[in-house]
Amino acid sequence: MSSPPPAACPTAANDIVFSYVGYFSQSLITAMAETLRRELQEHEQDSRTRRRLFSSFVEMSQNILRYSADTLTPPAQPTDELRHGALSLHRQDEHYLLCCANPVRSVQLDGLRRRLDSVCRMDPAQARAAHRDGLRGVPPDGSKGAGLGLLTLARDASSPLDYALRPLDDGAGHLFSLRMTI
Amino acid sequence: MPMLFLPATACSPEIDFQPAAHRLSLTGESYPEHAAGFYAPLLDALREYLAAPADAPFQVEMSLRYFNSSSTKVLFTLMGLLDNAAREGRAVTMLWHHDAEDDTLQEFGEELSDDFPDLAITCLAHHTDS
Repeated sequence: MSSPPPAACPTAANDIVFSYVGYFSQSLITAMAETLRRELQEHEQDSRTRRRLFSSFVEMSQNILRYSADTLTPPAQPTDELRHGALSLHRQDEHYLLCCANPVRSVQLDGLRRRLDSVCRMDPAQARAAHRDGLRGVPPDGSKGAGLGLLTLARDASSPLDYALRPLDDGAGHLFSLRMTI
Repeated sequence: MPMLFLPATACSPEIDFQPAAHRLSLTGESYPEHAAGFYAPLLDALREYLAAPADAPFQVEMSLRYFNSSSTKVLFTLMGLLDNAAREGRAVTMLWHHDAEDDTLQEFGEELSDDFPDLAITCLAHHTDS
């Protein structure tokens, strides 16, 4: 059996803490974040792990909300957006695996690939340094946030991030997926 | 100039800006959908307030349990406004509250002290029983 492609996530049901595929909105993200926080309070003893999971959940879900090419609201609308993606949290042995995916338009590919290649080469300590530099500088072109989202994820992960960009069957774009271990 | 008060929501902090009393506090969570838009009224009000002379120190207090990456950038911009004012002779004090076990918040407070040396920043660690 071949090993899974990069950024694929385990599908065994008993590993899943939560899994959502659908349209994201800020109200949904807030509700899920609060629920996740309460659940982690019960099930995860380490406060640093709880915080990193919460932060990473928010960053990944808001990345989908900001950047997914599958949008029900006009792309230029800055609030009350509805965009499609997938986000799941898994337990694997002593680690957590947090995975997200969303479609991206082909025109976004090059810039996205460049940023991802850069961030996914960093270990958490390098990501922390890059994050500090990013705070003081100008956001990268095309970034609605501060360009710090990926670095925030990379900084909190226990190993470098892993991503994949696969062409979609409809030829209209690609599926971007990202995986991190905490 | 008028005060600015925004009650906290589940994903955005309470903002309590009282120019007449020379106080500003931010309390709660910060992961609104559009951080720049959310904080714009406060930044505008701050710029106006800091441009005018004042006879009392400006006391800023922050108790943010969590802030997302977009909020982090905006907070840094806010600190920059305060730091500029401090460098031009305005007395500004900042109380940075954080959970004692939260290394991210603690580090951010320390980075603020490094990056904004003209601000008098005091980091206060709070111990909770959880």
